[in-house]
Amino acid sequence: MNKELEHQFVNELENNQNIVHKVCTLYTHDREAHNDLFQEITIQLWKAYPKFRGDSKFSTWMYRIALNTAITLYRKSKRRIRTQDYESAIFKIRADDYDATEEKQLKLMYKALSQLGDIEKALVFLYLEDKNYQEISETLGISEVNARVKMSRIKAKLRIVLNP
Amino acid sequence: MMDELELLKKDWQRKADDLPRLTYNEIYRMIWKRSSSIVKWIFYISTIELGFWIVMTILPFFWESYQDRFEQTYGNGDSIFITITTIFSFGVIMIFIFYLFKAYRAISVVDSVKMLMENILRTRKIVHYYVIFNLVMAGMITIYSLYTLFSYDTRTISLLESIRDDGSELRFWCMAGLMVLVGIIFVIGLIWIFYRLVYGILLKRLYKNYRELQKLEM
Repeated sequence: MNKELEHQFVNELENNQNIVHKVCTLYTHDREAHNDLFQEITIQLWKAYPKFRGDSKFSTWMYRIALNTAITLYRKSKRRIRTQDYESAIFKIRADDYDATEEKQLKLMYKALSQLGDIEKALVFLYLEDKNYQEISETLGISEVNARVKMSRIKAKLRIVLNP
Repeated sequence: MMDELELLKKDWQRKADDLPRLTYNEIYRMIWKRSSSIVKWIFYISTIELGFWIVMTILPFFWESYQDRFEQTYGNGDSIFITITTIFSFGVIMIFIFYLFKAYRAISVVDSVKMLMENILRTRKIVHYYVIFNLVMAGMITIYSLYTLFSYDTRTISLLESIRDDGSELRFWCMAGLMVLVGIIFVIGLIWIFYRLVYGILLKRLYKNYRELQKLEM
């Protein structure tokens, strides 16, 4: 029974691991920290898995746990040396897809994104993941109106970054 | 003008191909690793704190000299006082343990971000109250002990009398007051440093994010 649960869980996570990787990308700055956070999220997901009843989609449930772990539970290791080049590597833009202006804009936006607060990051992340405001507000525990207001403020901020 | 965020969204969703990919076995190995979440750290520290104060409450009862002194000071007739304070102390410990574990059980990683933070902060508050309770109790016991010492202890009373005869009463009280003050500052300072260190390191980010979330709702 337990073996079956393990198998089921690892399978589900393997298929949905992109969500966790994206959260790790957003909240860490080097590969080691990325892997560290990934591991902590995995542990938290696994601990909570026996209570997962499938009322919601596995991925919806994952968003919550991954964000909660990244924002609140995860303790950054002090020994780590921060490297800056990783960030640009993971946020790298595939130049062939865009013209120069778009590329420049995206670079600026990713830079602005990395400078947001932890909560703001979560908001933008859920927005980029195409979540509606109801889901965003439920995940963060704020009202839908506040989520919308904050999002429009962030949009305005980005606009200033792009058109100084 | 095109919505910049739409551009970002498109790029973000396309980026899935660039993300790292772990194999089944790599993920499987991870689920057996030990968690290093702050909840676990807070749990350990709270247990140590609670344990420390429980030991501080219980320990004196096992000291023979304490028992002797207690009987000397209060006499045998005051056993009701001892019983009541003991029951009270243990009752309070039980109540705190009950609420602390209730609060811990309420911490759920599946809750909303805000709820999770609030539940973690609630457990901290309970231990905080317990520490304050103990400090107040310790203060009251100290005052009461000093009072009984100066009022009933024959040796202290004769010492005071000899000081009074000596004419250096004022100097004695100044010195005593100063020593008590230094003692209080020292103890409070130690506790303050402990809290700054432990919770400063552990909860700095949580408080910062909680404030960010609260600001969002203003």
